[in-house]
Formats: sequence, structure tokens, C-alpha cells
Amino acid sequence: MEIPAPVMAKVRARGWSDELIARITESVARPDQVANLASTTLTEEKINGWLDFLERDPENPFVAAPLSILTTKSELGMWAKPGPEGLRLKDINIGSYGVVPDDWRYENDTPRGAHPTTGMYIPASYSIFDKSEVWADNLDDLYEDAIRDRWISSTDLDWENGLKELPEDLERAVCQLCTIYSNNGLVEQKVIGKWLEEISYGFYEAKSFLGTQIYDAGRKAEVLRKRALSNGGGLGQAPLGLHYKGWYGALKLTEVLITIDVIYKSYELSTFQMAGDLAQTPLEEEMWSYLARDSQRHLDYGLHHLRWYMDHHDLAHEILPIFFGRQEATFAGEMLTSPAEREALVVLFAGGTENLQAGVDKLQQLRGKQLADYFERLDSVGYDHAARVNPALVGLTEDPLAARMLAPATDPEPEDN
Amino acid sequence: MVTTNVPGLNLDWLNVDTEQGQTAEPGRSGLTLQQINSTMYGIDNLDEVRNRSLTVRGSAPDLRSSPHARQYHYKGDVWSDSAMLLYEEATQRQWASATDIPWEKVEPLSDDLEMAMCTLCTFLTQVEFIAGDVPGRFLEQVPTDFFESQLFLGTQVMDEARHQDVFRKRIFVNGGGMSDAGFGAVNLLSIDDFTEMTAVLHLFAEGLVQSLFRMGELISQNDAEKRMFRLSAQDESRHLAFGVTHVKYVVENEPWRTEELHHYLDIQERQTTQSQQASLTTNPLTGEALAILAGGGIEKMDDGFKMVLQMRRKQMIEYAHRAKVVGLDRSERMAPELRELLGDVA
Repeated sequence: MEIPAPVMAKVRARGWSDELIARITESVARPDQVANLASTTLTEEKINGWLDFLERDPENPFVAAPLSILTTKSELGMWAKPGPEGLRLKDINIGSYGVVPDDWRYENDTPRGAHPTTGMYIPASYSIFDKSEVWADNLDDLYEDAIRDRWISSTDLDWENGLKELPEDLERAVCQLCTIYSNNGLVEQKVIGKWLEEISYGFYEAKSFLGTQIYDAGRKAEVLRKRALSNGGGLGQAPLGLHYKGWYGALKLTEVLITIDVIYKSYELSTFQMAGDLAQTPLEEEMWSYLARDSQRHLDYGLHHLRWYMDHHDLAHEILPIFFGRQEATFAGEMLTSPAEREALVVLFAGGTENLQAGVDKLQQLRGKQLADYFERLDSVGYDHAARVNPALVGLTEDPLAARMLAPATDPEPEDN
Repeated sequence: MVTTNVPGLNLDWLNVDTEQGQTAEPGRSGLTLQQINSTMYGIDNLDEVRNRSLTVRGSAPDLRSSPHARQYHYKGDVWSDSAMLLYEEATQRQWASATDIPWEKVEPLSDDLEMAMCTLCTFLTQVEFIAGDVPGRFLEQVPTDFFESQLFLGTQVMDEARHQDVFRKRIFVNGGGMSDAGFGAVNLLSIDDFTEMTAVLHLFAEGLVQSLFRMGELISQNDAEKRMFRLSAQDESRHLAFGVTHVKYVVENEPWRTEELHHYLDIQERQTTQSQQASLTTNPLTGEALAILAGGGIEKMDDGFKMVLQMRRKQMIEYAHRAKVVGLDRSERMAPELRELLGDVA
């Protein structure tokens, strides 16, 4: 084989010996193979060993291997180092691999930082290529935190001793809440799951984090069902599901994140954070606490995405009020017309069905806290929403049972002629 | 019946006609899904969905709720007898790529070995990326009456995210970088049916990947890589088991779908043998990488070739065995090139 001049230049630049070059020239090695070898720092001993292989086993199919895998269009020389919490995603976001582009260019599963091999590129169906539609600046940490903070419902909760027999009304109220929140977990999992295949590889951290949320949502559905079926109660009334229509009806990922990871999670977290008031047993106290920690991560993604969207999407100021308006409407609609959740909360807050007004008062406090928390969380990322919030969410802080809001309109008094 | 005089409060939910008095005793593995399904809230004698809305099994549906059109209707469409067991196992065996891999055990390698490992890991990050998308797509299609299958797929999505991340991490810890991307696994996105997914993704593709991971000892250059493959293989085993038991359920309960299942495998086998088309673990880039890794360098690619052949053979033997166990004997219709790998075993 005569080594072409450009390849010879590479070979010379590598400082290969004349003996090695002569041996290559006399071998069955091809120029492309030699060029690829010359792209490496392989020792002459290694290359001589490869030439031995060519002579030793000329019929072996790998004699013809182009060795193209020894070269790459991507950056080499990465030496990521683990930090105090191990090797986290942020530790490998180094060099060119740490650059998350505003627009991702590849339509298939080419990983971020890699480039397609010529002739081996099949465009796929991904649709999210604009960073502003999916990104948040805390995704890498949230993903790792989700894995670090994993818990196991079957063994991390004390099913043996953490429960105690409850009066029937309290047991049914606990089970009623579990029924609704478990159902919500299943649907949360369904809705987020269907968006994974839209997210292109450029933003894999978002997909990975949503993978953890899918896992968390499943665990929420599972642990709450276990609680409902383990202490003398049973499942209760399923939710109407108006909010599910909102979740499914969200037509962009940002709208999904606003409805689930901002609006719903903010309300959910405020509820779970009242574990001390909700829990009737030590097991529940721990369960609500675990669930709150999970919800906090989901909310953190939602809020940070909201901020990213505001800062990077040209039409954010026009679109966001519409997203919030649409989604608060279905969410508030569910709160108004699906009474089982609020009534179960009333019974739990009242400690039973004897003094329900006390429970209603506490529910009013919760609704107030939920709305205040919601505004505060939106404020924390610079989204001023108070003036536009759905009136029903405000109304529920004054009329927590929606008795007046849902009261049939009365006919006006006939005017005296 | 409980009633109240507080305006706006009617407590109807306290009077819904669902089974009450449920208790469950935790066992050695804590309180598992199987234990709470020993009651009427289980799935015995339930072959078709009772409610087409998003109401979870056993709760009282709100009669105003609308049906959810994307859900399947029959148990056979989505069910796997091992879903509950595998879900619990998945929750018990989650691991963290950040801390459970001894990254400090990775030591500098010669360029051929490092680039071969980076090539393999680049390919695997492609495959795992899509292996999460596909089950993600089907979560919404599992009826709430058979939600355990959905829960399991949720754990698979999590596992695939972790696989994608652990292989990506390996690429960046030892002086290497991404290799150029090959065909990856884009074809899997064409899957359109739950059972097709279990045949193509689980039974076939994940089966091949699992066999590869289980042979990780042969291609690993250090303890970190061995552990990475071992833990990943453990996860893949669950995915595979889910798919195998679903396909088995279909073959046993809906035998008229057997030919359909064979057909999925016919296509998949054919694609795999067409090395210039998208294929799993058998494309030319990864073949070359595996030969270098298994042999121990470019100078030992003949040894590597023998070991790659062993791997391929093992992959096919295990695949053929799994297919046979679920009632899909492939001995007469396996693609000739793959059948050849079986040798005497065929």
C-alpha cells in the first residue's frame, strides 16, 4: 500500500518510525485505517501488534474494520471529576459538552456533544428543539437530587407499627384524600410520559428529570393506594377530573409545566406541608413529608422553567397569561365542582364529623395559604400574577366550600309597579 | 349515613358504595402491591375495563367524568402478571450513577480502548434515550383498571434515564469524549401498539442489550465499568421480564395474536441482520468497538472477534429461549443469519 501524502503527513507528525512506516507500506492495511490510527496517540508497539493481527488472521472480518471509531468530530480529553456528592450531571457538563444550545439541530437520537456519522442519520419525530420551551437552569441538580432522595413506600414507611385504628369518619377521610391524590398521581404520570418523545436530545436533562417525576408520580399513586387499603378503610370517591382535561389539553410543554409543575404542584405542596394537621398516624406524617419533598422538586422545575421562558421566549409576556388563564380555569373548576377533596380535608381538620365548622375554618386557612404561597412562588421567579389570577381561586379563600359561588342564581325580586 | 347541616357540605363521599374494611399485613418485603391486591381491589376476574374515564380501579367513579379515548379496553392489551412484583423490585433496586459507581477505579487507557468504550457508551446513550421515550408513550394508554402495568413502565422510564446518564458519565471521565453517532434506535419510535412494544423493545431489543450487559465482564476494563454494566443488567432484567410475561399472557389468553407477535419478531430480526440499517448492538461501529474491548486492544482483534461471536451467539440463544418459553418457537422462522449463530442449539 502506498501511503497517500496527506496521510503520510499525519503519520510523520505523529513521529512514527521509518521501520513502522515501511511495514505498513508492505501490509494489507488501507489508507483510511492508517489515517485513523494516526489520529491517535497509540504506541508503535500497539500498531505493530495490529499489523501482526492483519498478517496472522487475514480472513478475519475485522481486518477490514475501518477503525473509524478511533476518530470523532467531537471534543476529546474530558476528565470529569466527582465532587462531594459523587459524579453528578453538572460535573460532566464540561468543555463543549457543557454548552446547551438555544436551538438543537439534530432530529434523531444523536447525543448532545456528538455528531452523526455520515450516512447514518435517520430523522425522528422529536418536536422540541427550542431551549426556551423546555429548559430550566436547575435541571441537572434536580435530577440528581431526585435520585439521591429516593424512598421506598413498601419499606421506608412503618406499615407494621406506624398505623393505628381510627374512627370510621377519620379513616374514610384519610382514604378519600388518598383516593384523589393517588388518582392525580396516575394521571400526572400519563400526561408527562407522553411528552418525553417530544423532547430532543439537546435538552436531555429535562427528559431525565421528567423521568424522575414520572417515577415519583407512580410512587405517589402507589403509596396512597397502599395507605387507603391497609387500615380498615377503602377507596372513596374518584375526582371528577376537570383538571385532567387541562393537563391533557395543554398543547405545549410549557403549558403542561405551568399547569402541573407550577399551579397544581404549588397547591399540592402547600397541602402536603400541612402534614402535622392532616396526619392521623405517624405513618401518614412521614408519608406526607416524603411526598412534599418530591412535590418541591417538581415545583422547582416548573418555576425555574417559567423564569427561563420569560427570559428567553420572545412572546412570553403574551402567551403566559393565556396559559395560566386556561389552566387555572380547569384547576379551579375541579376545586369548585369536585367536592370530595375539600370535604375530606374539613373532616380531618375538624378531627371528625362532630365539629365540622372548625374544619371549614381550617380549610379556609389552607385555601388562603395555598393562594398566598402560589403568589409568593410566582413572585420568586419574577412573575407577577396576582391581578390576573382566576377569581375562583380567590373566591375559595373566602368561601372555601364554594357554597355561595355554586349557589343557584336567585331570580331578582319583581319590581313593584 | 352521615349528613351535615353546614351549608355547602354534603359529605356524599362518606356514603359511596365502595368496599371498606380493607386491611393488609406487611410481609418481609414491607407492604407490597400484591398484598393490597389480595382483596376485592385486585384484578381477579377483571378482563375488560369497567370504566373508561381516568378513575382508578376500585374507587367510585364520578358519573360526570368523560371517557379517556387513548386507553386500551382489555386486560390482554396491557397486562403482565409480573407487573406488581417487578414494580416493587424496581423500587427496591434503584441506584445512583453519581455514587454507586466507583468512578475512582477508572484508569487511563490506550486510545483504542478508550475510544472503543466511548463508542459503545455513545451508542448506549442513544439507545437508552429512546428506550425511555417508548414506554413513556404508552403510560397514557394503560387503562386505570390495570394501572400496575403503568407503574412498572414508570420505573422503566426512570431506569432508562439513569442508564443514559451513567453511560454519558463514563464517556467523560477518562480522557475521551463522544464518538460519532450511528443509527441508534430511532426505529423503535415507530412502535404503535403496547404488545408490539413488549415484543420489539422488551423481548427482542432489551433482551439483546441485557445479554450484552451481562457479559460486561468481558468488555470492562475496570471495576467501575463492571459495576455499571452489572447494575444496568439488573434493571434490564426487569424490563425484559415485564415484556416476557406480557407476551406470554397474550399468547395464552389471546392465541389469535400469536402470528402477529411472530411477525413483529420477523421484522426485527431482519432489521438486525441488515447491518447497514438501524440495529441494536450489532451495527458496525459497536461491533468494532466490542471486538477491541473484548480482545483488549486493536492488536488482539482476532481474539475480540471470537468473543464477539460468542456474545452474538449467547444473545441469540437467550433470545430464542425466551421466545420459546412464552410460546413463540422461532426455530423454524428465525432469520437465517441469526439462526446460523445458534449453531447446534437451533
